[in-house]
Amino acid sequence: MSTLVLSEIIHEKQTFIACIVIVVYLLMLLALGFVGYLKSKGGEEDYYLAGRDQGWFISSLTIMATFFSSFALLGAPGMVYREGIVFALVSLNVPIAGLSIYLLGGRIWRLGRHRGYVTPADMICDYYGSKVILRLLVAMTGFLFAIPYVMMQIKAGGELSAVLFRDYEHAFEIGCIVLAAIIAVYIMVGGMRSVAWTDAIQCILLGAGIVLGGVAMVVSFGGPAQFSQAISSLPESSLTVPGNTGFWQLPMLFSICVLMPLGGIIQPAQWIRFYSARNLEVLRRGSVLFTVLLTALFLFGITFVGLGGQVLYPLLTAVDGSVMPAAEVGSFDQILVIVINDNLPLVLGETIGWTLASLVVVAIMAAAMSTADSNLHSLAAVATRDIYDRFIRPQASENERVWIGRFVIMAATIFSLFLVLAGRQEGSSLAGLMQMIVALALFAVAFVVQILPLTIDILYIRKGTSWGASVGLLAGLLTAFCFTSLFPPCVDALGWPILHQIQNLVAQCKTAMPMHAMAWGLVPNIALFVLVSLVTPRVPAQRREAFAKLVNLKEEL
Amino acid sequence: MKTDSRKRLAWILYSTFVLAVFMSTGPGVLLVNRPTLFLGVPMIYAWAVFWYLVQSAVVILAYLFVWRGADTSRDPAT
Repeated sequence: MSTLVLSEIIHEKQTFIACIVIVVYLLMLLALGFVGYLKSKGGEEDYYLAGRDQGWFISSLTIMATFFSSFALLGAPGMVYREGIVFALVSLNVPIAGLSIYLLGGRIWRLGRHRGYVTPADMICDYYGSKVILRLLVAMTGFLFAIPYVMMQIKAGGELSAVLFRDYEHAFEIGCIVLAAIIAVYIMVGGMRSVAWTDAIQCILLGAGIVLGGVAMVVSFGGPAQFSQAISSLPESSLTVPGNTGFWQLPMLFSICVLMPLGGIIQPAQWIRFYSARNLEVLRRGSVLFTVLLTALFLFGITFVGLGGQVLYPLLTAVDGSVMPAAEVGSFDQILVIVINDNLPLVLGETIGWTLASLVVVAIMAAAMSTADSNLHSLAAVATRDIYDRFIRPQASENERVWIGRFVIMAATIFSLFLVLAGRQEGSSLAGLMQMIVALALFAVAFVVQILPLTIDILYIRKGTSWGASVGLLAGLLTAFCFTSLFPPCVDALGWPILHQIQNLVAQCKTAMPMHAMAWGLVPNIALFVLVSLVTPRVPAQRREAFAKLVNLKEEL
Repeated sequence: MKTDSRKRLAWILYSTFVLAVFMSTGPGVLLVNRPTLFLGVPMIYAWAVFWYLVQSAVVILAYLFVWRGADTSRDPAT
């Protein structure tokens, strides 16, 4: 039998095993969606918050799964593969998120429990007494976060499909469509219960996938000592800050490591999970599990995969000096899948190796789906409670609002899918943003981080005003946008002279201090929040005292 | 644990955590930013693992001795 025919047979067998594993997993998700629907009690609080009765195990897993996303299994290894060891330091953003689960989430839970909140805007607008402006701004922030994050997950599905079914011309597109469809169906049917249960399973798969990837990498080198020796022979730029491309300069590293986890924790999907917890012990335990377990997965799994990938598939340097993945890797974000597919069968034998490789693929899908479903679900809550209920049909029944939520899920999925597919086209203005999953994640977080000042004000300080919060948030969102990669295409499209001047100013700021857009947005945000709060009417003393009392309320044992 | 002791411990733990953030991803990185090995692993990696252990210890201690007592009417630690 010729080598070519044999390799075709091997590839077909591998694809067959992958298909079986993936189909079984997707059917299981749909089944959970249906079970969630059967167990639902109806009404908004049940659909969006699972009746505020989630236990610590499910809560912890769903919080972790929502935070993790395809960033963990595709984006992060891809970033390690591209940049080197600096990403081990980036991993230390995770404990900050873990601590915030209790320090921010605990207080959000108290307020949500006692005042019946469902969305972030419910709490923010109730405290500041803002009926329109702040609610619209916070809802828009949720939208600006959720859509890129959902795009990121759909893209991950496409990337996976492109590797697994590389012989098929439209594998990427089909992968995107199938992932998007399955997610939309089980959320629309089952609501928060299905989202949380599927998240829990996905978190376990995700963790297993990372561990498997890390172990496979070390074993493929012959053990920890040999792995360490191989890593130490990497180029200097791979073993130091700012990394191979120079992206992770100290201000960028620090600003992203501090702000990204905070943005990840105050995103609407996590906020809703805090409201959903049964009691504070859920969040206390979640905080510990998140900090210890998740960071370990990054440090001892993801980092190994990316670094080992640099040894096995050495990076290339383009003519313009930029860093490129090895030819057989294709795209940085595919490094984990390539490593697993190529090495597990060698280490464990073909059938077991491919089956486990397929499980890792499923874990990646799980990571993507667990975040996409959470963000779509929270987007439905935001659109329904903050827009439809307040401004379009206040007299709508609960049942009607739940159905509107389902419609929003479908519409947002289709919209995100469209943007992902459009971004793949030649010359698309989204192409730069879509190049790496990490870029999409940071883009999304740049917006949601802008609600951090008013969140901390409500939970801890209580000196800001409604006008201060609104002006600060608006300035933060606009500034953050100016520092993202989507701003230059907008400048070119509109051609206004003032936009060119702003673009020049942004370039000068980036040169002077290479921080991320999320940090730049906070500069005018906080400044205007404080200044405008000094000269505008304060939140009534009675309300401030009521909130102060609630955030410090003790639980009865 | 008495309230004053708990508050003092909380401040110590949170300050340690903030220090860990500055040392691990802030200016502290400059102390170790070289391509050398420490105990057989790249220096930067060993630095990251050390501060991860510090931050994990902070969160675990906070859970055991600060949070539960602060949240409940009857301190389970006493």
